[in-house]
Amino acid sequence: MRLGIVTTIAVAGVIVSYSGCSTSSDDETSGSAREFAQTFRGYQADYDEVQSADILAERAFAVVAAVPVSVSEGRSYNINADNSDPYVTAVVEYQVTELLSGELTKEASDRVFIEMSVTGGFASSDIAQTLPVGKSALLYLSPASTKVSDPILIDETAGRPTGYPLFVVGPQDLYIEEDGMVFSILEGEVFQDATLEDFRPGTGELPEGQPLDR
Amino acid sequence: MDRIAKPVRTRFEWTSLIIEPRSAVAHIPRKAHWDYCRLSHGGYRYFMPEVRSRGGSRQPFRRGWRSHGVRWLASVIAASGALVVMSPANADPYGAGPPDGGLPSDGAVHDWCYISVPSSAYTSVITASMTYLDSATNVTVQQVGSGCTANTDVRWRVVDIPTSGVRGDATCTATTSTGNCNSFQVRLDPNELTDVNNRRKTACHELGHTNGLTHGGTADCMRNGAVTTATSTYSTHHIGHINNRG
Repeated sequence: MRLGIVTTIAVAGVIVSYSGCSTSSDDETSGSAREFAQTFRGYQADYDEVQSADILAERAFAVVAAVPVSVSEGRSYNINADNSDPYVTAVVEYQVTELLSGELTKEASDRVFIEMSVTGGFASSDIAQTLPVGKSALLYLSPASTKVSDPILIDETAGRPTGYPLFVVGPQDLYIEEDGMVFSILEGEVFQDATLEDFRPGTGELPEGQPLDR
Repeated sequence: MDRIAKPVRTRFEWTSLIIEPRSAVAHIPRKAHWDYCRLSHGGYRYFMPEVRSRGGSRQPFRRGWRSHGVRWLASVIAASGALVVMSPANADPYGAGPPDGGLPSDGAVHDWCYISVPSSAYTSVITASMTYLDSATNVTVQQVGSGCTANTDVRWRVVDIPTSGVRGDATCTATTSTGNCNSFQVRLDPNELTDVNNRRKTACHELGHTNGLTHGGTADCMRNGAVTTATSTYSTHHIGHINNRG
């Protein structure tokens, strides 16, 4: 009897310590969609809100289901008169799991690289810490501007391997699912009891979200 | 390209709520008037119920307070549950309106510059927006004649924004130690802003973001998307936010 109790306690201890290690490991390598959205609090836009994912798809270059992988420093822009202290963006790499509409090059059909604003108080490393690695995402992609159309751009090829195109997303173009909710990262909204299926092209009207406290 | 403008999303807007007592509170002699008072700045989702007689003075229930009290407590719990579901989001010290959780600016002087000088169609609306901000609020604006520096509050730029439907945007590129924004980059997209009303409205809109405003209102330039008439001012609510950097 006593041996049984001791064994039970020991097994329980092993389970607790194992699960603790696992959680800790996850915490070290992955953030949450809510935290990720928080890092873009300093970005705001005036945009034509649409109610249909089909319209989002119509105006996007391509639509992909993907999972976030990593963050790196992106292209730089000269925003001061003396060209000092350039503004450096971040680039988030996503592993593509499904191409839902549009066409991508051979390279981009596997991985896509998204240029994101780095907003005040955060750096690329902060965005990396909050990135919900491995969570399901849905992206409506637009090609990033090139140096030809953007004269203050310094380093056109930064932020991704040679040959890979760079994309950008608008306020309604980036969704991540987590814990039974979907987060619209740039809009700063959360959709309770929603899944990414609700935001795919062909699913009709988009759900109604609530603003995140951020 | 066809675009469907989405109407402003409906959110609850109220500062007080009257609940007609039903069976649970049928014995309470007067209709309960519930005021929901905001607890603290930034906590706009949490409200405290306060019971008052209809005339407004606070009075305890005089008869059978124990049984009434239990029923009253039950109604409080029920009402609280309803409030959680309703999640009212539009009330703060400046009255009904969005809570405006953007990054506020770093002070009463809002200096500005052009990253690259745009055409007169844009310099006119940008200048008009800055002048309006100066006259309608307690913010003082001044143009940095020598060009943008790392600490210039607003750096204007007219450039194609690659994502379709985005008319303009504001990005805080540096914050102060207190979390206010030290410098914004503002972009206006000439492909989206094809008439003066929309140029003027989006310039006003993005300038509002540089003062901590978020979206909201209907006749206010902080509404989202295209306009068909001149919409280039802030509501009293938004001016309250700007004046208090809140």
